Amino acid sequence: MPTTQQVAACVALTMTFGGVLAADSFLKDDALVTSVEKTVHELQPSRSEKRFDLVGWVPDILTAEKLARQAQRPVFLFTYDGSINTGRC
Amino acid sequence: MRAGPLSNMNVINALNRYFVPVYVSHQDPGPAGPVTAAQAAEVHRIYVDFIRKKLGSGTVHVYILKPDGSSFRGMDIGPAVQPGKLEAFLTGIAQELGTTAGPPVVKPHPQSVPGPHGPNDLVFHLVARGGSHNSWGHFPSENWIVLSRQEWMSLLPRGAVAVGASWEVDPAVAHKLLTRFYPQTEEVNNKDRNRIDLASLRMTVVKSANGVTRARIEGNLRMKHSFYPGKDQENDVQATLTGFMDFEPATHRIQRLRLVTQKATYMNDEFSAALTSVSSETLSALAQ
Repeated sequence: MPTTQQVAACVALTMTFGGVLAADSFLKDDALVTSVEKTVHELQPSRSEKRFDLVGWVPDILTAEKLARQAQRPVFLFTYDGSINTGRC
Repeated sequence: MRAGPLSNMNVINALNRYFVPVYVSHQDPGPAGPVTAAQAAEVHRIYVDFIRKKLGSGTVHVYILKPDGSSFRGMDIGPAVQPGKLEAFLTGIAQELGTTAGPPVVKPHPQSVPGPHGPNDLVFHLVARGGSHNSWGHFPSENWIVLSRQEWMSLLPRGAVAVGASWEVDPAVAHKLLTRFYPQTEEVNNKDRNRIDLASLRMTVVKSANGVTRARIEGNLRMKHSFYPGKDQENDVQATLTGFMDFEPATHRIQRLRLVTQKATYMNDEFSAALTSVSSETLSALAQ
């Protein structure tokens, strides 16, 4: 089961989309920036919408079969169309 | 599946404790990149073997292989999304095979990550949410858009600019940034099936100090996007957009760019979308 730290890391990555490229000086946020950033924040996937990320997905089927033999675990293979990881499916 | 059983903590715990979980799209590259010929051949072998052994198979399907790789059980998408069915299926298999519980074989990590990009590229993340609460709207859709240096440089003004100066973004770049501004629809691959009738982004300088300039962004989008791929539908996307870009004119560096929908409709339903430039720090974290 994922640890609290792993869950927090997933959430933290989502939150850091609000970050900026490395720079020496910045302009102070004004009403436009505050309003737009608020909308950006509200639209980001929530923690519950990102539960899919809490599964320890293996990147591909051949690696999964290799790890299954090593760990003596069955493989769970889900096939589908589109991109389930981005929600475009 | 993602909105149902694959968001259920009991299913997630069962997958992490007893299984080696993997998902494979038939047509779209996943977080690990495009499916190789060897990977596709193995998925096809499993599909054919399940048919041959009358274990059930399908395009959207759950396949269970024993630890030695042999075909074992399957579950169609229909029952798999019914409450409790997948959880019972998984725990039953773990008991039947006598699988010992343990930690995930792979550490959980973000699954929505940008595609290939270079150090000079600028990566954008798009989130779109449909306004309706049908099954398509259970979670937002995401896209990653990568602009080359030549493309993102065209977002910047050609010379020195003062407050009030205004310019139109290169139509090709505006098209690339806006073509995923639609809510969740059926997608089988990442092919752009849209017809853009209008995609305009206008920048206007509103502030400048200490070598940093802020431009307000105003945009308009009119586009056709069929809800289902392969269908000759001309479903309308209409959106007005607002945002800002902070940049350093002297170094041609874009500090941050944000663009959100002000009012947007698809097939007469409202939707919202937000495009953000992604910091190099976040890209590094996602790559780990």
